[in-house]
Amino acid sequence: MGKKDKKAKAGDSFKDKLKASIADKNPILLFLLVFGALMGLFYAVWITEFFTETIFNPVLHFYARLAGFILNLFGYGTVVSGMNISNADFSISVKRGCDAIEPIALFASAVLAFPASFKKKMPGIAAGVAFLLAVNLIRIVSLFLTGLYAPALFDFMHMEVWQVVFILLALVCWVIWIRWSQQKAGVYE
Amino acid sequence: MNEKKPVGRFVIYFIAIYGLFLITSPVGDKIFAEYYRSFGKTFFYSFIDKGAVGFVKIKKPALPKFSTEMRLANREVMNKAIDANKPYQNARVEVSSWYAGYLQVALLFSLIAATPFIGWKRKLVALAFGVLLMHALIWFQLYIQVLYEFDRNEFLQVIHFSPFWQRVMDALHYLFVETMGLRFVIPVFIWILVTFRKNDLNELLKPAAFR
Repeated sequence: MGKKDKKAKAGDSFKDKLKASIADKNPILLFLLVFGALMGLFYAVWITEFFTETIFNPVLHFYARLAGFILNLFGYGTVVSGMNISNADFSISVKRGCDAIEPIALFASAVLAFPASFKKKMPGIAAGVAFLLAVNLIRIVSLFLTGLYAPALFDFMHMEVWQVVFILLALVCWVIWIRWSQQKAGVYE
Repeated sequence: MNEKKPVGRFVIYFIAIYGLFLITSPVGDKIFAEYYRSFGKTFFYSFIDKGAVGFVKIKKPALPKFSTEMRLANREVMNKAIDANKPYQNARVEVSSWYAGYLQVALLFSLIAATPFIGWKRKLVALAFGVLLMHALIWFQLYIQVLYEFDRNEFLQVIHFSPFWQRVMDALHYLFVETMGLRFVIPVFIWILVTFRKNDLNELLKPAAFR
């Protein structure tokens, strides 16, 4: 006797259809479970004072210095003090949420949760993290310029645009990595 | 648009649909805010044993996008005061349906609608389940905020947490109410859950997908 066909057919009861739908989603549910557990772990660490002191603040200082350096290359005459970047006309403070750490965690968790060899995950995570960090630098510089030239748009760019752009970038990086990791393995082809 | 470039198509469609949500936000946010207030009233007017929560429109918000005021009161005290036609003490918190709902719904809607390989029928089913789960998320965010505010405003004498539970509430409030990151991460989970089936991966991995 062959394997029982789990696909729902016309005329099946709602219960059968639901069972077939869950069976069809099994790998997705498993992925989400691991993905969710990793994100949960990230947030459990992310919220601690230790993480703020040892990771966050140094990262934010680093971003502020680098963004200030880039702005000064274009002659904006900024001064960086702690997490503040300012010049004669505008001042911006690089704070939590401007660090891209959450989109990076989203991307890294998605890569780690995906069924692929660990050897392929590490270079993928390294490349994705480097890309997202670089884009974040562009975000900080662009927000400074927005505040300088179009202050009315600052909150809009900060909250509505850049936050979502980072989610989109994290997802695109993840899909590109899936494609790259499976290309040679031929697992799904 | 070239059918052989679904990832590029996804990005372009996503930007277009999300952009549409932002462009129409002056109207969309007003409608959504009304719905948010009525949703809040439905689920929180009578809160646990003693609490009552009202959601009132702010005519001239001090903070842009914070157009709703949550008014928390002790139900018993409130009812007595209303019967006696007297004022009663309440706690007031400005909330934003924009940041606590509209943007998340816009993100989820854009992700589902822009997903390649999937027909409109499946997208509509995914949207229906997605919107349902978004309601659960919005309810949970409000629940956390209401619990937190009742605990913080001790004079209302509705709820008071032990130090341990206060720390838990502080953490949940920080994650779900104060910061935006998790609010954008959860719709991604919902999107994957309601939209994809295992066979969709095969479509994604076809060589043409990234050409």
